[in-house]
Parts: sequence; C-alpha cells; structure tokens
Amino acid sequence: MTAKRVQLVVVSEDKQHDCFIRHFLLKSGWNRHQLRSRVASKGKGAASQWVLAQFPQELRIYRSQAGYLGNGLIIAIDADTRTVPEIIVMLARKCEEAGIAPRNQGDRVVFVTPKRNVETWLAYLRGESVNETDAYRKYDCESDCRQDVDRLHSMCGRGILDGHPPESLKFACGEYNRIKP
Amino acid sequence: MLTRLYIDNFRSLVNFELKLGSVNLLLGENGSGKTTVFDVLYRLREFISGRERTGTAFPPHELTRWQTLGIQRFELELKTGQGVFVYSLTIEHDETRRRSRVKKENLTLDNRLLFDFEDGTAKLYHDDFTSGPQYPFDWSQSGIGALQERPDNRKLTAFRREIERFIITTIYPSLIESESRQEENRLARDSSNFVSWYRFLSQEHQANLFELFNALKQVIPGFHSFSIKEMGDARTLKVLIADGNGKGKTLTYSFDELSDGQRALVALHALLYGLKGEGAYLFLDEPENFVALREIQPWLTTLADFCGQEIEQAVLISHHPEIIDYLAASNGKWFDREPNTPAKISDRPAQMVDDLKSSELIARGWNR
Repeated sequence: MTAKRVQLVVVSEDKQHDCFIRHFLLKSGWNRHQLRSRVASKGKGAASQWVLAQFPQELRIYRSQAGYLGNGLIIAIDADTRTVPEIIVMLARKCEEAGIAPRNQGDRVVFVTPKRNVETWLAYLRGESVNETDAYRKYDCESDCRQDVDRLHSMCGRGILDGHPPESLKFACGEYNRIKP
Repeated sequence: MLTRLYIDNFRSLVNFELKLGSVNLLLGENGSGKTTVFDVLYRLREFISGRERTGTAFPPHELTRWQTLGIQRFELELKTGQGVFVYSLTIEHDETRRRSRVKKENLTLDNRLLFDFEDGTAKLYHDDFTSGPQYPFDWSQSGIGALQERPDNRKLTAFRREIERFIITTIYPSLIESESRQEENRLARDSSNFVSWYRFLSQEHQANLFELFNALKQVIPGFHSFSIKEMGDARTLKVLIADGNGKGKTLTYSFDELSDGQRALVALHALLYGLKGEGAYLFLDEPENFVALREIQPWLTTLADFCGQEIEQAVLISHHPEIIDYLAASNGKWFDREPNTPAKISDRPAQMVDDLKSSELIARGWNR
C-alpha cells in the first residue's frame, strides 16, 4: 500500500493555490493518493493567518514523521503587498513562537509565495505582461488554471521561464528543487 | 451550466431560488430540503424528456403541506455555448387535488422565445426566433418533450439534450443489481441499474474505460479490469483482480462480491471517467457514503479539477467533514429550515468563526 501513502501535504490559503499546486505535482509524476490538501476555509486575511498558524504544526509533524508519513510539505501563501523575504521571516517567527527550529536546508519543505498573488502568476502564464503590484482577474472555476500550469510545467522542463516572469515565481521554481523527485 | 433553479410550492420549497456555480455543495441538517432539490431536478428531467407526465412527475401530494395554493412553479436557467436557456413550467392542481395539468410551459434562449404553451395551445418558434406553427396540445405532458428534432428547431432540442445530461443519483451499493438485461443510458436515481449503465458506457464511451481502469487500480488493490459475461438472457459484470503486485495471475469475481465500499468507489469513478468530455452534470447525494476516509479527497479533487472541462458541473449533498471542509467556505449552499416552514438558503452563515473548521461549525450549530 506504499503507493497510497501521503507523501506531500499541501497547506494553501485558497483553492486556487491548491488547484495550481496539485496540477503541477500531478504533471510532475505524483499521484493524487500521495497528496493531501489542506485549504483555509476563511476569507482573505484570515486565510493567510490560518496558513501561518498551521505551518509550525505541520513542520513539527513533518519532522516527526519524515521518511514515513510526511515526506514533504508545501506552504502556499500570497505575499500580497509584502515581499517574499518578509513572508519567509513571518513563517520563521511562527516557528520560534511555537518553540521549534525554523525550516532548515535539509527540510523537504517548500514555500510557494506568489506576489501579488497566484492570479499574477496565472496572468503571466497566459502570456500577459504582469507586475507584482496590480491585481489580475480570478478564474470563476479554479480548475481553469490547468492549461496555465501545463505551460509552467513545460517551461520548467526546458529549464527556463519565458519572457519576464514574476520574481516570486522564479523563487518558487528554486524552492521546488527541495522536493523534486 | 445550470446557473439558477427556482421552485415554488413543492414540499418544503416555497419561493425558493438556488444559484449555482461550477462546483457546489448543498449542506444543512436532515430534512432541510437538500434532497428535495434533487428530486425536483429529476422530475423536471423526466418530464422535459417526455418520459413522465404531470400525474407522476408532479402529483398533488407533493404540494407544500401548509399551503392551500394549487399552483406549482419551476424555472431552470442553463448557460450553454449557445446562450442562456430559461425554462419555465407552471403546474395547476384542481381543487380536489386529484388531477394536475400544465398551465404554462415556455423556453427562451437569450430572452427570445423558442416554445410557448398556455391554456392548451402550444406555439413553436424557429431557430431564427420567427413564429412557427401553433397547435392544440395535451395538458398532461411537456410540449418540449414531445417534439421531434428537425432542421429548424435544433436550439430547442439542444436544450432537451442538455437536460438529458443531468445525472441525479445516490449510490446505494446494496441496491445495485448484478444482472443486466439491456444497456441503459441513464443511471437510476438509486443507482440500482449501475451494471446496465456500465454496459452502455462500455459500448458508447469505450475510449474512456482505459482511464477508468487506471483510476480504479489506484483505489482497489489488485484491480485489473471488468468483463461482461452472458448468463442466459442477462449479462453480469465480472471483476478481474490480479495477485499482489497487480501483475500476477488474475482471478475473476462477480461484481456483487466486491464490498459495498468498493462498489461505491467503482460507481463514483465511473461517473467521473466514464462520461469524461460528454458534458455531464453530476448531482450526487452523499457520494462519500461507504467510502474509506483515505479515498474521499482524491476523488473529490478529481471532481473539482474536472468541473467545467471534463464534466460540466457538479452539485453534491454531503454531511462528511472531508467534503464540507474542502467545499463549504467557497462553494457551499447552506440550507436551514424550521418545522412546517419553507427551506431557506444562504451562501454562508451569518458568522464564520476564525479557527473553527466549517464541519466543526456545523457540528456545533450555526446561525443563518
């Protein structure tokens, strides 16, 4: 039953993140039974706080079961008006408050921190010229992002992001190496 | 996509409006009206397709008990590639409440009439919306259901075909009959004809079975494939299960030798993969029943990922925390009802409590 054991826990602030990440992971060879989604059931603001609050708990579980139940952890949280490094500092502080060591080099833990938000990435992947300040349109149905993710997966396969990608997406691609099969 | 449903004077649904998106979860206490919504959709599908008449689809005992009004109204708004269809039906019950008849039935596409029936006279409109024939018609059945497709009424019949794509079911593994006498292109309300419906899939949507088998290999240890065997006049569904690693020798089991949970998993995955790309609308009542906790989220995320593309739309009824916590906050329709009063609905409770999961909020009680 090993193939059905969860190998990655994905904690997201909304279902658009969750769908985006899941589709990328499925394209990359994981199957659905290896993934476990946890999505905030709250409005904006409260949802990012929820993700921040979950992080130390999930990191603790990951470390206690590394190599067994939880082989990796993905934390997805929009940077919004903050910078990506600021979000990473916030995550580290949450760990300190909870009395555990922040993420270290060896942890198979990935931060997905779109700036301004995941819709910025989706607009870029649709071929639009984007910046990380403006707000871009949301999809009515989260699964509409799948073709955008296909493009990202294809670019990752070639090892280069086309055009002028958002800095936060370039950062996330680097993060992915932590769990890349 | 079914974007709006209006129901008036049917059981607990009075002046009731439900607006829907691509993925939807109907939630609320037992008796709050959720399944009644599915019952109405089922009856409308059967009525519009011409398989049922007013007497069986809308019998008088289904009128709202605490009202004396003899008029029932139903409306569907369906957004399609051709535009927005709006279907309206008014059923009139006589004073003795022994007979019912169609008072009005009409269909528009982008606010332009395609069909209009009132007081015993039907009027047809061509695909270019110009006036067509007018004729007396039976009060007891759908005028739309009775029409044959012709080159000048394709829009109207396209609406009927869209309604035919509604699959409204509850999976009851113990009711699934193991023998099938013929293929059936509609899954029954209680899923009892699953094997006959599977036979239809295996004939008409054979290309989808490869993916279905692959999906089932993930959820049923050793699953290899299905085969259909003749047994006299009937056919039975057999399941081939392979040894340990799935590559060894296979043994053949009858479908009813699978556990309830395994049969439910087969049906749930057949709904997703068997009609992939066919524009199906799935209305599933408590799909998680019988299914192991570990299997619910992979199925649910597949459903969510398929909606709007591989399948047209999904509406679920569920009391399960796994489904509630994934869908309630963003896709929930919260039902509430006091005894002998109409069902009420809202997109979210008046107060969501931070740090409390939706399922926990429901368990503790919520205010509309």
